[in-house]
Amino acid sequence: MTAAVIDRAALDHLLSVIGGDPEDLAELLEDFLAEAPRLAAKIRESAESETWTDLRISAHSLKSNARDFGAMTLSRLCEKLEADCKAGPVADAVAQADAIVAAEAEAQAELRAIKEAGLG
Amino acid sequence: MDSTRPVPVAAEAAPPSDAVEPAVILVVDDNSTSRLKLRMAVRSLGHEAQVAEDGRRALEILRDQPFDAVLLDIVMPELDGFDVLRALKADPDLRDIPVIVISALDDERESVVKAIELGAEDFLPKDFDPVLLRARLGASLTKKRFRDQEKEYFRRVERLTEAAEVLESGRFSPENLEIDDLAARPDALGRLAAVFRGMAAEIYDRELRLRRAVQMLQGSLLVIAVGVVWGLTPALSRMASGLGSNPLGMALWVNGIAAVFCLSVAAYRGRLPRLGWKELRFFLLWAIIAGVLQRLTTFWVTEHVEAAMLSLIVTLQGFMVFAFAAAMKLEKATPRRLVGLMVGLIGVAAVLYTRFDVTGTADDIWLGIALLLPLFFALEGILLAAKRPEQIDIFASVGIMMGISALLLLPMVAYNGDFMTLSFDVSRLEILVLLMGLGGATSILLCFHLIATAGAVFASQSAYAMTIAGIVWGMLLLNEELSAIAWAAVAVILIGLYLVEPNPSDDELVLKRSFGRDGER
Repeated sequence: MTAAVIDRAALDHLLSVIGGDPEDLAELLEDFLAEAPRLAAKIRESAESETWTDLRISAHSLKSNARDFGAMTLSRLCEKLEADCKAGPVADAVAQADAIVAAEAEAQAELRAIKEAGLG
Repeated sequence: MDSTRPVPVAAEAAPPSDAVEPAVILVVDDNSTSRLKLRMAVRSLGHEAQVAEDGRRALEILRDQPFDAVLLDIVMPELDGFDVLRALKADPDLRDIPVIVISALDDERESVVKAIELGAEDFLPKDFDPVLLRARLGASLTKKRFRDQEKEYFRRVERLTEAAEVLESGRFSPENLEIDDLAARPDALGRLAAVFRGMAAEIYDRELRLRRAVQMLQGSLLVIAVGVVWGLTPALSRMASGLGSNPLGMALWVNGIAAVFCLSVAAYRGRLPRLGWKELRFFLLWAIIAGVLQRLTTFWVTEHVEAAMLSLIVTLQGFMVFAFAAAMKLEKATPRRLVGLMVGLIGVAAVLYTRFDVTGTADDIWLGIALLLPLFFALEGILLAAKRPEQIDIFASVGIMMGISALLLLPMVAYNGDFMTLSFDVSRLEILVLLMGLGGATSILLCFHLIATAGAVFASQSAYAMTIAGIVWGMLLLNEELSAIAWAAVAVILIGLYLVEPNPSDDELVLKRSFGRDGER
């Protein structure tokens, strides 16, 4: 079940990118865990208010961060929403945003579990 | 999670062995997690990383401190990566900082192309590999360093060229060149700068010595000339008094004739000045000191103090001028100059001692009063050195002073009934008075010029020359005897002149040189 939500290979890659120190990775993960719910909430808000540029930029940010931490489902959902925003107004923006909020919560739980089990 | 933990732990784990030297990198990303990831990645390569959370802040930081490279996210709210790139490339101070744009390559290919077109050095995908970051950052930094060296080299060439322009303008003084730091560098350009500076310094020193020698010669000749002309006065006075003249009446005529002569020359040269209150005050003070106080003191003192003694006392003016000039910081007061003044005094004293009986002929009170005479001469010298209005022509200056002093003497002459009437039927007295007028004008003109070129201290030595010249003139005009010691005294006085040396000119030494290139000369 864990493997389906978080790709551990992505975390290993991220660790090598930042220099190999698990403490650094823990700090970075902490930042993501704090930032991701805010971004997801902003996506939900922008979808509701149909502010497409904000929606696109938030989806773009969460997409990259999620990919870095191996949250592939979340990343793909954000990527689709960002692409849709580029094309113009998105009809099912709120539905997509809801899916992202849910995926973020799932990824959040999994990443916390991984962190508690020990990184690196 | 301790944020105060020293940063370079990762750097120690993976030292950038084949990478370039540590650099300062600015990470620009609105996304806090991405920003932190990039900062950690950059630090792990051994570089210093600073962060900016948006484009506007990035530009502020970049204008505030130097950076070696920028890692720039493209998608940002408000000022995005493209806007930052445009601003950087439009700024001459910032356009050479390499920018690596960070982009999710999968869906932003056209963005990368646009960024490169706008001047980005390179790009990096969001999910970059650490090896790729090291390679791209390293290449950008190497280019930047090379460019920096190139710019620094051109700056130095430019400064050397500016120094050459300073030389072309004739200002050879080494401090004008301002290339000491260039000359201290151990490379080829440093060597060129050192040789360049050395040659300029050598030429400057040579010219400076030449100028001092010329000033010394000019000053000495002027001292002798002033002495010769001034020394003529006592002999002429003695001849005139034999013809029934009186000192005050004579002084009125002498000053009047000198004034008419000098003002005529100034008028002929079209140099008659317009006087302000400041100038008038100066001329009035000068006339009171030189035309009235000096005259009256001489007039009274000569009746009570023996002539040779008086000559000796007058030469003390050199020491008084020296003391005034030192106190007012007008001239440098070195022991060498003081010794020079003493040598001159010894020369004069020697000749006077052998020639006349100097000892104990006068009342002590009158000797004290006689000391006023050198004091008034010294005050005149200092006044001319410090306060003369330099824009006013020398003939006009002397003429105005002489005219004012004639006017000041007029009431005293009238009170004493000392008017001397001269007739147009020219006899010996008329010729003598005319000669004394012209002589008086000439001596003050020379003295004025002497003070302007060599300073008051050097000029004060004309008192020595005057004493010796007085003796020589006495011999020539009145058939007095001249001892060999008088000639020796002249030599001693010349040594004194050498030791005192003229006050160095404040004017900057500018050499007229033509450095025309081929076909330009």
